[in-house]
Amino acid sequence: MKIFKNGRFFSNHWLNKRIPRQDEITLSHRHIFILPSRFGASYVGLCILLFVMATNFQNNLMLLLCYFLVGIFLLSLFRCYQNFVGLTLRIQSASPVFVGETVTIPLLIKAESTLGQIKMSINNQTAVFVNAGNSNITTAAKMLATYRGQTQCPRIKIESFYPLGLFHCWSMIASDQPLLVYPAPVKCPIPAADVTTLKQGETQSAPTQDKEEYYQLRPHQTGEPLHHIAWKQMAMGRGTLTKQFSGYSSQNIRLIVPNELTGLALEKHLSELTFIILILSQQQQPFSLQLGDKFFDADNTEWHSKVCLKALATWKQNDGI
Amino acid sequence: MASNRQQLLLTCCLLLSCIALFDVLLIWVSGLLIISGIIRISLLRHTQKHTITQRTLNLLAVLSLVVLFWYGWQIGLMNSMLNLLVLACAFKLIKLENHKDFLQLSLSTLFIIACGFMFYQQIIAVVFYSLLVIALLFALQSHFQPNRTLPDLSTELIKQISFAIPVSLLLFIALPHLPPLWQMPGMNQAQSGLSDTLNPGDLSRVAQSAELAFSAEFQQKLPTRTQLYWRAQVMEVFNGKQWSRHPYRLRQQQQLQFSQHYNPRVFGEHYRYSVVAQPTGMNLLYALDVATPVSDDVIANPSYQLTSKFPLVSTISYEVISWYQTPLDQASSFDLVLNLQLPPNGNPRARAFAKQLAANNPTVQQKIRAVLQYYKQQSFVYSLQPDVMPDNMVDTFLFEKKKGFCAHYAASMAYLLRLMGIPARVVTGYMGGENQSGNRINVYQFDAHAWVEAWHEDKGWVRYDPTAVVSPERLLYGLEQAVAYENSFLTEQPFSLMKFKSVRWLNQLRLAFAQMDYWWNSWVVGFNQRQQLSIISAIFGSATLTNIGLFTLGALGIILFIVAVYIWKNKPKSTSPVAVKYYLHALKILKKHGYQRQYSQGPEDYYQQIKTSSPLPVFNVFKRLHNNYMHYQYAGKPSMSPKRLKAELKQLKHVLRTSQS
Repeated sequence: MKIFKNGRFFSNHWLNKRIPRQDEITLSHRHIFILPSRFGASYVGLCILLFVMATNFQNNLMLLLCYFLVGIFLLSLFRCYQNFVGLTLRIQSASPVFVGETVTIPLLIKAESTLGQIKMSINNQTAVFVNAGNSNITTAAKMLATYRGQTQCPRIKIESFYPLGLFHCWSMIASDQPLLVYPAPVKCPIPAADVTTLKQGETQSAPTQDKEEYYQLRPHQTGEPLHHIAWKQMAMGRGTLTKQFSGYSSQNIRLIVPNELTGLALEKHLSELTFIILILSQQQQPFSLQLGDKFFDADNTEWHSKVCLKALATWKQNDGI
Repeated sequence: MASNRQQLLLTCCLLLSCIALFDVLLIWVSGLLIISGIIRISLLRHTQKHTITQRTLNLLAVLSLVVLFWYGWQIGLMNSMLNLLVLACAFKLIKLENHKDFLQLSLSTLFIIACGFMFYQQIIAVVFYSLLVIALLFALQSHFQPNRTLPDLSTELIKQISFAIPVSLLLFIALPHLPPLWQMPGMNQAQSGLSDTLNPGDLSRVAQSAELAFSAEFQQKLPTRTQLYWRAQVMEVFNGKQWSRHPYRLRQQQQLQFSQHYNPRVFGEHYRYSVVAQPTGMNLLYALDVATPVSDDVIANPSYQLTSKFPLVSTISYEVISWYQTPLDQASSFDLVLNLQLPPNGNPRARAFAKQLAANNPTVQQKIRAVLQYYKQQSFVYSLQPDVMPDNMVDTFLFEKKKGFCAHYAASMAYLLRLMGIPARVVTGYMGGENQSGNRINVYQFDAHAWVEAWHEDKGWVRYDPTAVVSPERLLYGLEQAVAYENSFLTEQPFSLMKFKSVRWLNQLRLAFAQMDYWWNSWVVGFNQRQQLSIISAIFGSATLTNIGLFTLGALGIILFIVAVYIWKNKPKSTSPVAVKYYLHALKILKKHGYQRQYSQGPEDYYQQIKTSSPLPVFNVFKRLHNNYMHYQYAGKPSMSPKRLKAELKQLKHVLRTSQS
């Protein structure tokens, strides 16, 4: 159906006004849309057919059956709505993912008087079904991340077909929390530490330094990263020691995204840098990142790599997801 | 697969609904369905793992379609459509895989069940079909609510049904019952009853059935038994073998449907009665003597015959006035010529016999008496098991066998009268009936009868029943007595309760069933505008247009009322106690005025926030609400009454408004 463009029945603007973004929502008449489902429409068609046949054959029993089915249909409307209203949902923040992975938006559903199946989907993608029934349910809506960047949490369509599938009650809910999607990592050689500028396509191969195991302990010097301290040994009372890794280099690697880079080339470069950052942070090697005018000073903490990844994700961000 | 339960139920529903349509479905179609049902069930029970491949299935489907197309011509459009649907369901059943298949199949099953009503309208059939519909709804429900237990689902379904039944009854009673919108292709049902031609052997076959033909309920008095000649159709053409209606009459009947009604001239006393007629697939209706219809869709015609505007595909009821003192004296010269027509040859002995009788008896009266006299004197026998008379039927019957059913007598007598120059015709219908309580007469198929009408210049068409001359028992007591000597009554239905009239309790049981059937047929199956208007008259005194409108609106109002009651009764109960409810309400009001409680804030933190950030009057009110809430949470009992809380909320709103302005 054409009107369900992008799986959305209504414009975003209108939706934002009608159902404001909020983390917790108790569904009320403002938030609920209800229409006969496709099955319901066929069911109505059957009722009409029965009515015509009953009239033409002057068959009262068929007419009675037709009215009975109409009664069931009518009741279904109320039951579907009544069952859905009062459902309380809490949307939790989704952890960042890479492009091509599945975004999981955790949901806590408080279904005090709701029964039947509840379906959750984003943009009509993979639907998740849960069975409600006087309980709290922890579940998640899922969606494929297709674009990098930081966006608003997409609207989650939450539906119910209770009780007979004749009606389709739904709401489009969204939280205020942002959704972060990093660029997809693309495998590439890790640049050497002394590389000063790293332009697109110029990643130079460096000596293999990807061994993860540490090979010795040496006394700690101030300034060295805290997470390299061998806490176990310190607890044993052997003093503050620092784990030294093979391939560990205190020299930092400079990663640069030139300002003039755009389009596919930029995307490719960002993906490669993402890969590099992932590897480097695994090896706990310090690196610095220059994104056009922005500069992130060298560091090797997890926080630093997260900040850098986020910066890569949001750099010259397109329309987003 | 978690959906086993509902799939199994759906399969059973489909199988049962088709088994109930056994007469209508082609044998191989039902066979195919049963096989696919067995395959489905064994797949569901995991006794079989391999389903049929799509390719085999497609091949089978094409083959079946070709065969069905071939036979479709013979069984009529409606029946072949139904067969086609069942066939499609059978294939779908094998490939029942996803959600969509399930829904499609359930709708088709619902339709097949509904089609069952076209063929069976007895109470027992309706009970059976209702159970099927309920089972189907149950399957649907458990499909959409897979995690619920059976008792849960049952209560839910019972709730829905108990809502839908009164609604459907109200709609049924209140909504106008429309006439057919257009002519539907005929259903080739196995109909019992009179046919539109009369082969002497046919009627004795009809008389083997104990099925109800119609019931008539008289308003005041009942006619005597010998007056109960229910005219159905007039046969005016004899071709030497069978009597039939003249094509001109059929055209006339069609014309009468569209032009204004024909009204016979009537006078004298009358009976007024309503008839509930069982479906026959034909337009024939039944009435006594000269009848004028009261119901709209009944048409009288110049043969003093009543017909329905539409074929009787389901039970209908109509109202008639019979003027039993009025002679049937209207006939055109065409009628008289038509009723003298004879086949050019055949039956030579009868021709000679008629010539001889005519020579001996000069007047019409004498001629007729002479013919009847012949039947009386020649030791004729009334029998339900007459011999077959393929050639020169009249000769064989009159001069050799002398044993026949009423049709033989009527056919031969009318032939003899025509040979003697007296316009005569055969009338078929029913004679007699069984008296029921409440001025009601039930007429069964075995009451089928045929007699003769002969034209007299002065009296018009006069009824002569040669059967009554031969077997007065038939006239006075009915068929059972008349054929008691040969034990041929209902030989094909050995267990019919009709045969046990002598056993008192069985007979009472039978009469009670008949009573129930009558009620069912007149108020449910045959319910139409007439009954609707009678209900309206009973409520409002008269059935004017305003009253009809009021009635319909009233019924719709009651439906809305039922809906409202239903919604109100099923309102989700607020589970939070009063103290919590009012506290949350207070938070909402405060939020509106800019004092929002953060997620991280507990009630105590929030209390502190209000204390520091809001004006004193606001805080004072909130303090009381807060204390009440805390008291409830920790002491388990609120310190304020709900009334007091309400007042506090009002106060809170007030102070917030004044403090901000």
